[in-house]
Amino acid sequence: MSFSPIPINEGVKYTHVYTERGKTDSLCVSFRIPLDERNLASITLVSKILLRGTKSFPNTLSICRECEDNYGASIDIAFQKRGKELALVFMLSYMRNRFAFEGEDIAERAVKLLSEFIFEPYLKDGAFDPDYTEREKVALCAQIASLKSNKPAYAAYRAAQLMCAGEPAAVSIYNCADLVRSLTPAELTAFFEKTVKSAPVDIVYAGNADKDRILELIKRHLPFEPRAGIRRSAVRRRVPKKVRAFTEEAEASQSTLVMGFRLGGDIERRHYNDFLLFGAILSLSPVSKLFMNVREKLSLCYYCSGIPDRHNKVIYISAGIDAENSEKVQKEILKQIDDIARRRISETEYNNALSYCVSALRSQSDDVSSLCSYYLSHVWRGVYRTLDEECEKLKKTSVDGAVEIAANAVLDTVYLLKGSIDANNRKAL
Amino acid sequence: MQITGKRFDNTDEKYTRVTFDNGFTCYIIPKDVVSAYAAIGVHFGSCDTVCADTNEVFPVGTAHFLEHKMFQTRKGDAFELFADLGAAANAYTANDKTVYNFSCTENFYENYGILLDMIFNAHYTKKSVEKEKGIIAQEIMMYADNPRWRCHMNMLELLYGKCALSADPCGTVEYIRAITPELLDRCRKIAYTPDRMVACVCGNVDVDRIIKQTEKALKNVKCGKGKTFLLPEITEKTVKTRHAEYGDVASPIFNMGIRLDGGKARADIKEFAAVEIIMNLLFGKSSDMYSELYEKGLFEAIGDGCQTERNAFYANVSGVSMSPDAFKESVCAKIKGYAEKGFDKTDFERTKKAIYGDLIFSYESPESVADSVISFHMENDDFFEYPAAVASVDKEFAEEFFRERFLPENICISIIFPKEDVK
Repeated sequence: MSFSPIPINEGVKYTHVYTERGKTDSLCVSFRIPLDERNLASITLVSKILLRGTKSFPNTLSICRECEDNYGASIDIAFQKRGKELALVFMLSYMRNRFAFEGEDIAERAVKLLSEFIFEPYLKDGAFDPDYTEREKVALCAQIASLKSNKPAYAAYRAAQLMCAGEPAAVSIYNCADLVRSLTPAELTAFFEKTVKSAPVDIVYAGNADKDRILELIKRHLPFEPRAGIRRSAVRRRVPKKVRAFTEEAEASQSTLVMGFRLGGDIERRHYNDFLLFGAILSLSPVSKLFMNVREKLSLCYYCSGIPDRHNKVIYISAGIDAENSEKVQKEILKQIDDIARRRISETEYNNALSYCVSALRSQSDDVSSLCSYYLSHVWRGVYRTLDEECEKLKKTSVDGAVEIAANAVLDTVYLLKGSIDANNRKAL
Repeated sequence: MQITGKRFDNTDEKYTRVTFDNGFTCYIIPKDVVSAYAAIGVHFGSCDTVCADTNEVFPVGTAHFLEHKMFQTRKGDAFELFADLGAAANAYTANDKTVYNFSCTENFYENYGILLDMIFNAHYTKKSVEKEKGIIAQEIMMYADNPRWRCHMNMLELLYGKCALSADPCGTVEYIRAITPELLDRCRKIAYTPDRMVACVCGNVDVDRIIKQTEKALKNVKCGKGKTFLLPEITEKTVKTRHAEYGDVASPIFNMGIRLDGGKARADIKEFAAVEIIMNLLFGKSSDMYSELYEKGLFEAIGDGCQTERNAFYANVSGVSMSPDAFKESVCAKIKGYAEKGFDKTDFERTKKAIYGDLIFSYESPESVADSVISFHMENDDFFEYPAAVASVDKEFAEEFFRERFLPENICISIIFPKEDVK
């Protein structure tokens, strides 16, 4: 039996996931808005400013003390890029009331705090506090600047920039330092108020409270007004005319190779499980083709792994290598994808990859916050299969879909971040 | 075989602990979940470099290399054997231990059988050992390129001098080139013995079945008692307070360490709990110091932790700061102030409550529970007694410990400045 989100208001949906497992509950509230650099810069900065204060708890100190006093209840504010869309997610987690020392109502206190983050952030003269805003700009810009010291992450970022320029996949906070600096408290407040007022809202709860109790808490503390729903529009596939190769240098002893492939099919919905299976056969499972061949058989690297971006129909393969082995590694990666496309997948490889995917999915029911995230992502996708139903469907996935995805994978970009330090001369080794 | 069971009513947790006649210990923690996780920890880590009984030397990097090769068995590559049964396996090497684990949602007992088999019956060839060297060399380079890792290792060297505690657990490229199958065999013979091992099984499992299966597997194990290893030799009695270098970072990064062993060979669980509370009171987001230093722009982001392994016992705080030296100076001044005035009672009790809440959160994950049980066992402690240990730390105990160990001369800072800053 599929699950059905309950409409609370026009454009506001609630999903209740009952589980006896665990000792904590999770409640998440998401807003979806269009992805562009301005929205991304605003959302990133706002998510930091919100943590600085609410109406009743006007600074980080008082917020954190409130959370600690409520048995370590936590609120994370995160965002996800999903193709042409950006999702802002408030994730609340708290210990169940039965573990409290003195029978306190942890749940209501936690939801009240969440409500203040959304409806009553700390404002000065009707806008975010200018001091908080400036301070968070500095912190965010420092974070943006630090990307370069993480070589694998920097290489993945550069590959996406070069390969997908002008596409949603290349919209990145790491391009937005100037934009971040230019945003004013008034602009950011208007942006956040508009988001809360008009962006489609999805609320998911996972825990052992009954539905009426949570709906009551939502009614009392999260009174969202009606708003328009969202129109889905998928990212279109782009096929490169020829493979582009880029090399840049970095101060490192190891080089990082990233190969970016364009994928086909409706991998967000219809071919979703095929894509999971393809990823597991190729690179994600501990006995994947890349692990077993590029690493174990040829000893060319310590890691060689896929970074899937299904919303943009792209997969990047990244490996830390010796620059002199770059050609060899590229050839082997291509061979492994070609082998999948030619159905050179043993029964064992298929079974292992499938059970890896099923096991990863099933175990999400053991962790309340993972369970919450599973249902939220399915609500976003418009796929209303329960976790058990999704597992059953996944189990029936044949190898054909993975073969088709590999056959349609087209190499677009080869990016090498070449280490400029001679490993033999590095004294620290 | 000795079986003990414990139930902790306040946290709703229970476990069965079995100590087999050959010294192998197994904790079994059933949970109402679909997955199960098992890990075997071997009391042999990167710091175990000198055998006290035979004087043999195994340089840093040996334990880690062995970890890579233990997955090869006579029945084939254990990664593949696990995968054939739907499990995902992994391993890691720490200063004081090497841990092998897997998780799955089906065929648990068959997978547990593979884990028990590989831990005693690894089988690698000279060729496969040679091939592993290329992989591990890349792993060493990957870490060497990571400024945060380098900053952390430099901090350990300030605290303990150049010794096994401050060396990269992977070893050096030069050293691993010299490793032979014979050396690895020798290592296994003296360190991979049942009395130096602890297993923890957590999740959707049956206690009796695990006991029977473990007992049966151990019957076939033909090895004697393990040897003893010397504690890492700490070459510096006093802490060196500062090291700075230039690297490929955009803003200065730092790692500030506080050596807490006080000359004792090991910390007890109550002292460890006291340090966790103190670090939260000092550097947690709810602390006065965090807010004050953040508002002054003395750091952009920080994270803290505390660690006890073998004879190392330290706390550290790391992050990004435009003025790391000023950050340290302010922290030292604050520490002096707390030493004089003591902690606020309300802050102290609230912090304890938050740590209790965090522990309840951590009990949800079979992986987190099993890894913690193994880590605590290696220190002769019991993870499930930790909430009680936190509760038992009163303000007076914490303040006394704080005044005795959080001394300015025990505090160091390792910094990496951006290369662009070289004048």
